[in-house]
Amino acid sequence: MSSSIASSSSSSSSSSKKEKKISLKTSDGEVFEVEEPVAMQLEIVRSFFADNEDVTEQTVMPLPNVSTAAMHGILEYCRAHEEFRRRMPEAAPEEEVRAFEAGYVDRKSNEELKEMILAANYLNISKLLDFLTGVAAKRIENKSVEYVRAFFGVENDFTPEEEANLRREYEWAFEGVDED
Amino acid sequence: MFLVDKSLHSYYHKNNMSDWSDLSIEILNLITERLYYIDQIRFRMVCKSWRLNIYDDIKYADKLPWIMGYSGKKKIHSSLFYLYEPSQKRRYLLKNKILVGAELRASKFGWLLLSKKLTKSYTCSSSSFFFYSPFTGEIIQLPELHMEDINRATFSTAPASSNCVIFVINLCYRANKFCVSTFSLGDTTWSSHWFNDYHGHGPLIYNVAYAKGVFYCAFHAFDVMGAYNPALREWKLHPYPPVFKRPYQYHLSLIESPDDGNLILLSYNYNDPEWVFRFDQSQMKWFRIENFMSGQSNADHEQVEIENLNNRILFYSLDNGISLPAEGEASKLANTIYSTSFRWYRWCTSRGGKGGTHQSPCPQIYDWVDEGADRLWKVWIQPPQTR
Repeated sequence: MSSSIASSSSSSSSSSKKEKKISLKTSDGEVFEVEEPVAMQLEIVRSFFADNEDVTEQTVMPLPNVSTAAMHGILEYCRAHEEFRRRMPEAAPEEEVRAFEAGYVDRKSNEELKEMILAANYLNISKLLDFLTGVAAKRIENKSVEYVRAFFGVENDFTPEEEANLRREYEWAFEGVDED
Repeated sequence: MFLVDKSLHSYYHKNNMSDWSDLSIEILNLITERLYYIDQIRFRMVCKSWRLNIYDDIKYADKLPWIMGYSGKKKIHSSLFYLYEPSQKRRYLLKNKILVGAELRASKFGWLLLSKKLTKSYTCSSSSFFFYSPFTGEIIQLPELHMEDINRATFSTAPASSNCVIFVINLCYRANKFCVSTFSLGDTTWSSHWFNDYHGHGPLIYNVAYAKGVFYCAFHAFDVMGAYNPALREWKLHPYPPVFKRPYQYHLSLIESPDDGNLILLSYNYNDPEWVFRFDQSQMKWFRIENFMSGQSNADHEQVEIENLNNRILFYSLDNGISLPAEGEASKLANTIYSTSFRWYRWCTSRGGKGGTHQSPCPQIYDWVDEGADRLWKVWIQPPQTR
């Protein structure tokens, strides 16, 4: 309950200064003008503005670990969620949220997914990070070890003996995985 | 204006953007805990650093229990057995010789408690007890125990922890006495206590269960449930709900609810579950769970308070039972009973409605398990929480 009160009070304060935008600069130099309530979903931005009293509306906050491409994806997600929250502050329209998230992630390649997970972690958006790590998990469900290595671009550094021993330990668990 | 203030740098520390092989340990574990147990086994095998950096006691996505199928009722007679995984509906074939000749006593937290008879005299025998995890292949041997033939056994917590207490109750019906034996992991011997006041609670015990420090025994007689607190070495009796005082054809089973410490009493008649009660330990009181009341009986005179199953699921088999919260993939099963026995892989219940009950269609999660008509005995089993 307390969280819904907190969020509705922040939404009324943000609507009083509706025009306010926050400037965020990505690693490749592009500056994004982001509506304040959307930018504040990025915990790194929220705490930066909360902790530094000398920042002004003209302050451009550099985000050197976030690429322009990742930022587009992040903002699309945060804007959609801000929209859901504005329309239904009490309870998010669950089915609509699910439909949006399914469509949203369908369009993302594995590479984009990875970049966005790193960005969501860096920007500290826990809701998005939870969602994206769940998507990554879903994409490797019932896949072979080789597929998972390829998916994550990870080199196998076990010796053949070590790997054979590990597989013997859980021999049963390697039956029946999906075709790669 | 651009800020290149020192205070800013504290916000930019962690990961320099890189490929997934340099995933921070935090993100690696976030992804891992969203995987099902079976996928986690393969995930840990990707490379050395992942194997090292994935936490041992990590959660997994499984919210539904697996099923283990084995051959032989009283004694297991094959080293081959199956694990049925519900999330991807897959059956895995496993093998371990240690199972042959063993009797399955309890299945919890990814571990089986088994016993094997070593010597046999008239009505008693010496038995060896051991834990076996079908998932990891681990075995924990316990010392031998001498006991009467009528006995039940279970344990409190996963045997990975030293808090684990193993509990065995055995009846000497002719002499009107019974014995309670407990063993704490790390001890060298069982501690056994005879009680001489076994007054006709019946010649057998349906099953035993653990909840909040106490082992409960569902006696066959019509009146009481036994309760043993190993820490206090205290034995108590609690009357069953009044409905079980009437002579009636039913079978009782105690079901554990590990996450909230509740104790559930399920009765069934032939193939149908009939009554479900929750025992409240703090009030020493039974609550009837409305959703599972079968239609024919009118028990309003009983003065028992009624509550609902609170979005939980009961999983029942002849050898074990567990109550779990209906979360995640399991949420569509809320307020239902599933059984591996009698081929009820689902049991749907009345959903409200005071004037009697009706069965509604139920999600079929486990129906595929019996497709092969393999005639195996089946028991619920959850993946182990720690490795």
